[in-house]
Amino acid sequence: MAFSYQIFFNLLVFIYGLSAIGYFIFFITQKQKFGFCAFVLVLSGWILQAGLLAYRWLVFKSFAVSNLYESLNFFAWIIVLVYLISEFRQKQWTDGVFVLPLVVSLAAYAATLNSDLRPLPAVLKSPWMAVHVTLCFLSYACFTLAFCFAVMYVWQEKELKSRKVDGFFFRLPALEFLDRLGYRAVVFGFIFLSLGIVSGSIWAQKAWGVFWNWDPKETWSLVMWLLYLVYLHGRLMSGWRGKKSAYLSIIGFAVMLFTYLGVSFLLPGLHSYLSK
Amino acid sequence: MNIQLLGLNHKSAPIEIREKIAFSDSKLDVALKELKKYEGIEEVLILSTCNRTEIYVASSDCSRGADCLWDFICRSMELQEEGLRKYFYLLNNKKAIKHLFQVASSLDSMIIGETQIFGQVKDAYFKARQANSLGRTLDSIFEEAIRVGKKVRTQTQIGKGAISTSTAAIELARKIFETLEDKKVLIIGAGKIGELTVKNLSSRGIKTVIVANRTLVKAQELAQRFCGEAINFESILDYMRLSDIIISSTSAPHFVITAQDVAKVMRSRNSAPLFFIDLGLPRNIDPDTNGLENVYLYNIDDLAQVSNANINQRRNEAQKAQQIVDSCVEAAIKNINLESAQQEESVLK
Repeated sequence: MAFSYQIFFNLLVFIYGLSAIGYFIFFITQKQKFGFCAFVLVLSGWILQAGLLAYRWLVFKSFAVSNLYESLNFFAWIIVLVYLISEFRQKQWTDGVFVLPLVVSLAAYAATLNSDLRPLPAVLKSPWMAVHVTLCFLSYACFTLAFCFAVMYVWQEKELKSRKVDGFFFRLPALEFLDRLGYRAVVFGFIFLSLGIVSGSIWAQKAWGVFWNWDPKETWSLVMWLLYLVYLHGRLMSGWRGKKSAYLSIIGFAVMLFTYLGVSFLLPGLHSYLSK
Repeated sequence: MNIQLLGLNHKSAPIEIREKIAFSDSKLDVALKELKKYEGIEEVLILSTCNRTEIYVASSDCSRGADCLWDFICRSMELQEEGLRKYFYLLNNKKAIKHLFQVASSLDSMIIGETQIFGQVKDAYFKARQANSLGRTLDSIFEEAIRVGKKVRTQTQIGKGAISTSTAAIELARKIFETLEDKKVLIIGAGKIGELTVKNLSSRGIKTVIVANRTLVKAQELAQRFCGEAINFESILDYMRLSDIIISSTSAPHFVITAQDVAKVMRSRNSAPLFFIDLGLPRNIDPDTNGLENVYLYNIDDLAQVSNANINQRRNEAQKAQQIVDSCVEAAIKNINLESAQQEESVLK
């Protein structure tokens, strides 16, 4: 990989890091100007990252998410995309305090990995790959955002229930707002995940002739899908909202992390980024 | 030129004295003109609010200025100077400027950080300007005071946080509900504090008010005032299903609402959050209610705790504000000195 590429990637991690610090200062001081600076930073980081992704795409002539590095890179980019859309719509910056550290860790982790391209087996080369990967990462990003809202909800709920007011009380948004946004993020995540699984099946059918392989990642995706189905069902049918929803969302995020990274490390299969 | 201040406030004088020494809007204009007639008094500004009356002048001589101020107070209020002095403070130059800056940044207020005083200082400044009683010295010092007041407000959190029980209730409601506009509030008991809280809530956008009282007539009276609905005491639980905020202030000797009642209601309202404000003494609502999911119960003590936390927060912020004021006083004095030096220079020429 070209030397300059790595420099740009390190710069990217640096920008996201600064943005995370900006959000943190905003959270503590509640001064809008810090939130705005952090927003500008994360936006410019996202544009830079888009450039880096495009560069790799043009150089390698394929939409490649073939190794862990590329996958983390792409995932971080998608999270920021979803976050930016949400932030732009809601016009409040508090969730950045929770989202940005995750993005920074993903990008920093990626920066330590080998970014060399691993050629894909010819059988997998298909436009379905881009569709499948993008949909899955969009769903992961939505669930990540839902997780952040859930953490904020649980925190704020605890503050209100304990009836003791400390500094965080005023910094977090209203419960109803957090609950609504968390729910919305799960709905979008669920739709993307469903589409992601369907597109993966179609791709599998084209590549291997079967829709479903019971590969560990497929199995865990199904577990995750069922879990969020329970979330939505409980919410719509049994009035699960607030804390119950928030806890489910947090569990869902843990399952998602395992599906994404744990499976690759512990249960190698067709989807593994690490298999040699 | 000297800046002098003669005044009294809630700390120096009891209300019986303060109410005697106040300039209503109609009296203000005359008073400004009268005071300016004194020889040696070049500029005048009067700040008169319910907590303070302060007269600021720019005078050519300090002791003469003080005499004029006393004379003016006694004559315009028709009072004897003896026995009155102890309620007043007379401050000159740096001390007067510092005091003014503290007043403008609400550091000298009864409730630290309240916003009203800033507007009152501005108002007094505009009125004096209209009455043509200002010159360069007071004009520049008051413009600076308004700047300082703004600076303190933007750079510190001195005005943040509810500090009364009823505003604390609103602050809490806004941490539970995203908006209050589509929320319904149910008041149990047509008492005074309950009414005050509803008043505050409706000023923040609450539209639907339901009133329940043992005697329906009283409920109807209160309901009418908020364009609300009066209901029978027995149908509280039915209406609780439709409400979001419940304020209770009955004088019942036992719990009016039990946790079992609320648990039932929560099931029927699909667990939508409920916020209980118990203002009753003895308490009206079973404290176990707070243990239910999506139910938040605050009684008078809890609300007081919230407002006390805010008051402490304001005290901390007041220290920061004081630092801003101090540095601004130094800067302002340098400016004033410069101006008077220039004036002297031009006289010499």
